[in-house]
Amino acid sequence: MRKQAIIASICFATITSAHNTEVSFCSEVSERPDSLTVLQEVEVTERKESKSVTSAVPFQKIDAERIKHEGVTDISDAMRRLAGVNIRDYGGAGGMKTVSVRGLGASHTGVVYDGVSLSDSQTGEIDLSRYTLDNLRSISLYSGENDDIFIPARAASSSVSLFINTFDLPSVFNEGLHTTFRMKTGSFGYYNPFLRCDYNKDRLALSFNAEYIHTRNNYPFKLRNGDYVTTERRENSMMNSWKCESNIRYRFGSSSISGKLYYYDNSRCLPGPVIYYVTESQEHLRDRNFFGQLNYKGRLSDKISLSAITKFNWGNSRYNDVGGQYPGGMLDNNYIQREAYVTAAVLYLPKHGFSLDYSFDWYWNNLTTNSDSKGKIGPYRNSVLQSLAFKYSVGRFSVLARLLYSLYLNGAKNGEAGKDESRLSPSLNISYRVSDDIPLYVRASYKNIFRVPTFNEAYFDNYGSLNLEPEITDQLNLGITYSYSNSDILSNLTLTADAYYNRVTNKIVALPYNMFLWTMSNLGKVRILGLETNLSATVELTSKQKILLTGTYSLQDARTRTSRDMSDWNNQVAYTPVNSGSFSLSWLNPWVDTSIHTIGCGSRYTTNKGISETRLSGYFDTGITLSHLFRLRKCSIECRGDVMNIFNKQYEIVARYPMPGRAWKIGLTLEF
Amino acid sequence: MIKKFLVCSVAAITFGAFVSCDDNEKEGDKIEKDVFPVISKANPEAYILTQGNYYSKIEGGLNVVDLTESTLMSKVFSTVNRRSLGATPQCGVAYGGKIYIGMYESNTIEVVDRYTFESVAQISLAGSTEGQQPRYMVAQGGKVYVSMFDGYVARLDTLTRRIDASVKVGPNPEKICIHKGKIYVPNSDGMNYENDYKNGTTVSVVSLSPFAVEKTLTVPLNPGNCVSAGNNVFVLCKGNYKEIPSKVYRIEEDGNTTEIASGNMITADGDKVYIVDAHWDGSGNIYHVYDATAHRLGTLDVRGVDYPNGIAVSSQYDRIIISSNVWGDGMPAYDLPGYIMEYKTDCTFIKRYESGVGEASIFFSVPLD
Repeated sequence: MRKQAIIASICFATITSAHNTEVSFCSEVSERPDSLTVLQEVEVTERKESKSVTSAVPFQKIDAERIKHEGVTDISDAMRRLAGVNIRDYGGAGGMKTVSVRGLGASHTGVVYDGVSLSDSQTGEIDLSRYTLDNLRSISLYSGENDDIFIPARAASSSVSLFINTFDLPSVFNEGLHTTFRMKTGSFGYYNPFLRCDYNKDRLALSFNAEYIHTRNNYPFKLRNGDYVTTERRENSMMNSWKCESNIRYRFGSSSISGKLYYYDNSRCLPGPVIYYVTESQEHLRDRNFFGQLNYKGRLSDKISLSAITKFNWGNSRYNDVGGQYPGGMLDNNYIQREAYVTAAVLYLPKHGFSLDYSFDWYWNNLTTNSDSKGKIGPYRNSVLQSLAFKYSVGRFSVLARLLYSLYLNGAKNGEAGKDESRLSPSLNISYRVSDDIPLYVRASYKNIFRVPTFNEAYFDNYGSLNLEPEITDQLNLGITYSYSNSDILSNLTLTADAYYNRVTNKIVALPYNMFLWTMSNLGKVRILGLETNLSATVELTSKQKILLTGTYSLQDARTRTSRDMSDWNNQVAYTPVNSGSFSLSWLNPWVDTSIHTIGCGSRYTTNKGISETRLSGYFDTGITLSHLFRLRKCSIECRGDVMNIFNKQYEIVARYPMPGRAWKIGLTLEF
Repeated sequence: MIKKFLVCSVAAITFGAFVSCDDNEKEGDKIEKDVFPVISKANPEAYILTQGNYYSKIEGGLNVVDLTESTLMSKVFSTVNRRSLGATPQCGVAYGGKIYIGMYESNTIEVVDRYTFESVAQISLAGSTEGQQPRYMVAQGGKVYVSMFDGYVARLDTLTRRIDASVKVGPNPEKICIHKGKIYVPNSDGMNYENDYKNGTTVSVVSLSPFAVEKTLTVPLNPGNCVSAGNNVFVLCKGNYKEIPSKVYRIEEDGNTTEIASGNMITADGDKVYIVDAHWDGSGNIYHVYDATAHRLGTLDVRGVDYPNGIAVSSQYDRIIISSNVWGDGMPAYDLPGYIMEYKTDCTFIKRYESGVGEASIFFSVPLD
C-alpha cells in the first residue's frame, strides 16, 4: 500500500507540475474522484534512472532531501554546490547574489519560480538572495535547453535556466490541516521564523507561508592594508526582510486551477565595499515585489494537454544614499517595474514516445523612475515568444528539438525607443543509452539563443545606447552519464561528465563615448571551453545507516577573444575561476545525522586584463551540519545546527566585499 | 574499495580545509620596513597621483619623478609607510617640506614628509561638517585650501594640521586656483548628471581674508577647472559632454566670460595657459598655449602622447609633464597602467615613464612663501 501511495504521489506530482511530457503515464490517477480510489498493487522491478543521467541536456538538481542531508545552509551555498556555477555574492544574508553559469554572465541565467519566469527588465539579473531554503522543494539547473518540452516558451529563452520550486501546495494524500513552524537563529543577530499552513479537503487545497528575517549582519573580517592587519566589522548591514505567499488549487476532473499571491519586502542597509580608513556608510536599499498568478492545467483528451498561465508582477527598488555631494544632499533612485504575462502551452502526444509542444508567450514590461531627465522616458517592451518543440524517444535513443521565435518590440512613453528585435533560435539535444544492460548514456546538445539589452543598457542616463544589438550565445555540449545501483552496499552511484564549448558574440560592454562619458556597445567576444563532472553515491552501511557522498568539479577556460589587437586578448574572463568544485560527505544514522561539506574555488581576476594586482585568491569554505529528527505521535521535531566556514577562512567572492568567517546557525522545526 | 574511497574523500576535505587556513592573517601583524631610497636633497620633483581602480583592487598611489635625475619612483607612500594611501587618491599639493594628498573615497588628507615620504599625519574627514571628499588643493600663506565635493572649500592649517575654517560654495566644486588673494571655485554640479548639470553655472570667488564667499560669477555650463595666468582667471567649462562642448573661457574683470579655445584640460604657469583638446576617438590631440598677457593663442608641438588625461607645466623647472592612458579593450584602458611623458617647455622630449592606473593629478614641488 505504501508503494502504491508513493507511485501515485509521484504520478500526481508529475502531472500537476505540467513540466513533464510523460502525462499519459499518469492518466490512471489524474482523474481523482471525490472518494478514495484503491489502486491495483504494482511491483517495482527496476529503479527509475535519475533525470541527471537520462537527460539529453546537462541537468543538476538539489532537492529538499539534499538540502537537509548535505547541510546546505542558504541559497548561495546551494548554488555553489552545482558544477559550473559562479555566484556573485556580496557577502552575508543581505548581500546581493547573482548567478553566472559556464562563464556566460548572469544576464544569461533565466530564473523560473514555480513554473513561471521571473524578470528584471532593468538589470537582467535576478537577485537570488531574496529566496530562502525554508520552503524550497528543489533547485534545478539546465545548462542549455530544458529537457521538458511542456513549458512556457519564455522558460526556454535563456542560455541557462534555473528552476526554483517551492512546496506550494499539499499533497492530495495529506488531507486536513498541517502546520510547519521553524525558528532559526545564528551569528550576527540572525533570526528567521517561518510558518507554513496547509489545508487540503476534497478538491480544494490551500497553503500559506510567511517568513521574516532579521539580521544585523555585522560580521567581523580581517582587513589587510599593506603590512597591517586589523579586525574590522561590516557596519551598516542590518536587514529586515519578510515574505508571504499563499496558494490555492481547485481540481475538477482531470484539470486544475491554481493561484498564487506573493509579496516580498526587504529593507536593508548596504555596507558597501570595504574602503580603507572609512567605516561609515549610509546606503540603503528597499526591494519590494508583488505578484499574482493564475494557472490552468488540464487534459483536453488522451492526447492533448493544455497549460495556461497569467501573471502580473510589480517590483520596486529604491536606493538611497546621504551625502552633501548629491543634489539636495541625498541620492534617491526609485525604480518601478511592472509586468503583465500570459502564456499557453499545448502538448500533443500522438503516440507513445513522441510528444509535440507549442507554446505561446506574451509579456509586457515597463520601467518608471523618479529620475528627472532620461529616466522619465518610460521605456516599455512587448515580447512575443513562440516555441515549437518535439521530443522523440525510441529504444535507447532520445531526441529533443526546439525552435523558438522571439519578437521584442520596444517603445518609450516620452522619447526614442530602443531597436526592435526578432530572431529564430534553434536547439537540438540527443541522448543515447549505449547498452540495454548498462545505464551508460552519451548525450550531445546545441543551443543558440540571445538576450536583448536590458533597460539599463538601452536607456540609462548618459550610459545606455538605443542601437544595441542582442548578445548572442552558442552552446555545444558533449557528455557521458552513468548510474549504478546495487541492493547490497552501494545502493546508488551516479556519475556525469560533460565537456562544452560556449561562444558569446556581440557581448554588451561599456566603452567610453568620449573622455568623460561611457556608453554601452556591442563589442566583446568570449569563448568558453569547459568540463563539468558530478558524482553522487549512496552507501548503505546498515539498514539504518547510510553514507551520502556528492562531489562536483568544474573547469572553465573562459577567454575574451574580441580582437588580437586588444590588451585582454585570450585572457580569462573577470570573476571566472578556472577550477571550482564542491564536496559533501553525510552520515545518516539513528542518532545524529552528520554532514561535512566544502566548496572550493580557484583564483580569479577582477578585470579581463589579468594583471596580478587584480587577482583574488582561491578559497575553500568548509562547514559541518548536525541534525536529528524526533517523532512524537503526529508531531515531528527536527533540530539542526550548522557551523559555516569552520576554519574561519577569510575570502572574497567580489573584490572589497569580504565574506563572513566562522558562523553558526541553529534551527528547530515543528511539523504537525 | 569503498572504504578506501571514503577515507580518501575525508582526507581530501581535511587537506582542503587546512590549505584554506594557511594564509589567514594575524591581527597586528607587521613586516619590517624595506629600505627605500630617501630623498635627502631638495631636487625639483613632479608628483603624479594615480587613482587606481579601487573596486578592481588596483591601488592608486604617489609617484615621484626626480626632474634632475630623470627617475621615477612608483608608489613611494605605500613603499615607505607599508600601507595604502587610501581609496582613490584625487588631489595633492607639495608645499614647503610637506606633500598634502586628498583621497576622495577614503575621505582623508594625508600629510607626507616631502623628503622621506613618511606619513606625518592623516586627517579624517568622515562625518565632518566642514567639507568631505577632497577634489583639489592649493596652498598659500601657511594654509592649504581644499575644494570638497560636498560643496565646501576647507582651510587646512599647516601647523596644527587641522581644518580651521570652511566656506560653503556651490554644488560639487572642482579644481580651484588662487588669484590675487582670492580663491576661484568652479561649481560643477557634476553629480546632477540626470539634469544635465543645470546648477553648474557658477564660479564662487572666496576671499582669503576674511575667509568668505565674496561674490558668485555666472559662467558657461559645468565649470571644472579654474587657473590663474597673467591678470586673469581662466575657466574650463566642460559642457554636458554631448552637444554642449567643453571650452576654455577667460573671466573678465566685470565677471563676464570670453571664449578662448576648445579643450578639455587646462593648466597654467606664469602668464600662460596650456590647453589640451584631447580626442580619444583617434582624431588627434591639439595642444594650445595661450599668452594671457598678449592675448594670443598658439599651438604646442607635443608628440608621442596617445590618450592624454593630465598635464602640468613648470617654467621654473622647464618641464611639461603629460600623463596618458594606454589602449585597452578597443578604448583607452581605465584598468591598465598608463604612462608619463616628460618634456621641456619647448616640447623637447625628455623621457617616458611607465606609471600606474588612472592618473589623477600632477603637481610640482613649490617653495614655502
